[in-house]
Amino acid sequence: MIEALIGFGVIFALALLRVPLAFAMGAVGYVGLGLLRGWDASAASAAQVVYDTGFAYTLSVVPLFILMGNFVARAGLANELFRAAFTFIGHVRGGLAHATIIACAGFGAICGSSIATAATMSKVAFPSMRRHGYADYLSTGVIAAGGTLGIMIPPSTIMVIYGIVTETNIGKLFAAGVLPGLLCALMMMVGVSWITWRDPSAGPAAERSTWKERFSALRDIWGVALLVVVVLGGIYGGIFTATEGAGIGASGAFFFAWARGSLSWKVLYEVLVESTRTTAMLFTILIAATIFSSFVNFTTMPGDLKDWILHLGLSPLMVVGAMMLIYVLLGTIMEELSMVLLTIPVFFPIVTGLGFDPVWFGVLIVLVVQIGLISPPVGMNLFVLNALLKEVSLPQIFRGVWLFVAMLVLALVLCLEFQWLSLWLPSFMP
Amino acid sequence: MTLRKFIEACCSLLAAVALFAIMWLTLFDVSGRKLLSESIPGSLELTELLMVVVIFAGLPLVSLRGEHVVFDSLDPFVPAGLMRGLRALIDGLCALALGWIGWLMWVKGSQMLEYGDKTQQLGLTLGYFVHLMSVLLFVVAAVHLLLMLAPTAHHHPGVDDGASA
Repeated sequence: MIEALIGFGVIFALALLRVPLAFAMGAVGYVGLGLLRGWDASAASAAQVVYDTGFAYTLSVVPLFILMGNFVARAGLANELFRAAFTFIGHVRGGLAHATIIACAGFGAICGSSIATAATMSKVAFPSMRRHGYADYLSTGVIAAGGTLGIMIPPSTIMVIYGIVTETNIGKLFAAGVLPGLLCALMMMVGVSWITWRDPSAGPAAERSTWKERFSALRDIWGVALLVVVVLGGIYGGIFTATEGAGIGASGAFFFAWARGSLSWKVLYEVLVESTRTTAMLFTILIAATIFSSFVNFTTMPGDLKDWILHLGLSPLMVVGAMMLIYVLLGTIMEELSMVLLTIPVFFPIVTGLGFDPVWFGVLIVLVVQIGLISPPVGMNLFVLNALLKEVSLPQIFRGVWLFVAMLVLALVLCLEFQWLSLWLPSFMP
Repeated sequence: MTLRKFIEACCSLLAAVALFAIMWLTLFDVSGRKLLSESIPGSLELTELLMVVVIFAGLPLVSLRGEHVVFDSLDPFVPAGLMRGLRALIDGLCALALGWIGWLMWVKGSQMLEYGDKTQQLGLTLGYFVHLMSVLLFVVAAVHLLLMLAPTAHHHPGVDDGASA
């Protein structure tokens, strides 16, 4: 127990000294295992982890989904999504903000990244909201929050990584994210209504569209719809595995981007290189976290903690609730993926030991990551908007996002209480 | 062309081509299997080998651009001189760690060559690919040595380049 606690302490100290988190985790895992089991064993184990993570067919799901998202972002499909949502709901108070959330949800169904979703939407939705006289704090708040739908609504990079490290079925995780994703979108729309009710000038109604315009806008989103049906339908229907689905999705997105003329050779190359960079960054963390968790698993900490918590006789839901509280607090200052990978070796055995479904816990993990991504002071989505929308100040962005943080926390509580929200859809899968 | 630019150009090309190849390979393999009940022989193995290239050729790019996850919220409060020294020290340590892992992989690759480990379907010699991993890890270590001399600003992927959108 003590060894593992020291390990965690050293990682945090190194991180504060600005050592990249992956290197801190890897080094602590390596040295820790070396001290416990001997240096030869530690070296052999580290080399094996690097080898296994490098040569893994199923892990090709990660770069392929990233590639799909990046192609889709370049293809400009987000414009059509936003326009379609706008024609239906733009004329109500706060309608453009509602439309942004709907478009984010739609975009999230073809893109597995929160940052990419927020960045894409900031280019599509923000200018439109500004033109219609929306308050900047509402526009940025809604884009930052809507972006997080990218990781809850499948496909989702975070779910893929959670599935890999915990050996949970990725297809089931994807199915589990659908209802909570819609719930999050709904909660965000409630948030928008609340803001525009309190301050009607923040989101004035736009012009009403005719039914002709609505149908024409709907026709334009067939590309998105087709990709969603083929990729996610294929995975749910058991026609292909998540890895195969990712390959089909990436190719489909490539063809769309190409057919729409948005892929010059230069852009294609950029998209590919960018996707490999994101992949390499994620795999560094993945490899380091695996080395670290083989150290943690060799200590008595996971077992001790599990025994201790089971012994306390707390209600199981309270235990998970306490974990979520820790995550939400840590998520305000820590990078979310590292936070999850660092804690999984300790938390996951407790959760399964209490008899909970790993798929449900996966959904909760995604929700805390969503919350972490938009909670000040260190929320990646907020930084994305701050970098892309130079005309809005960071305090304005912070101001607009609090209500949405609260809404997502409410969604987290609902998903915690009502497990069927996550588990009903996967129950139909073979 | 500076050494930095050269490493970036080579690794970008290598990683990009490998990723694009994985995409096509998966597309043809899956559609072949589902539609014609015929798969590409050894496609799983090829994907695995290409994944090695994607990950390990991508790694120098991540380091060059300073895209590793770091906790940088305290940066504004640290004196610039101290920060420079600290970062040089950390890059030095990263170079050491990566060099060490690279060395372990080199040893592992040599062992596999000795045992004559081959992939199951295509019979490709695995040891060479492990050596490739090791060489690319040495390249990353070298990148961190370069960063020691001339650090880059920390870069949030997708945040600091509008291009990612």
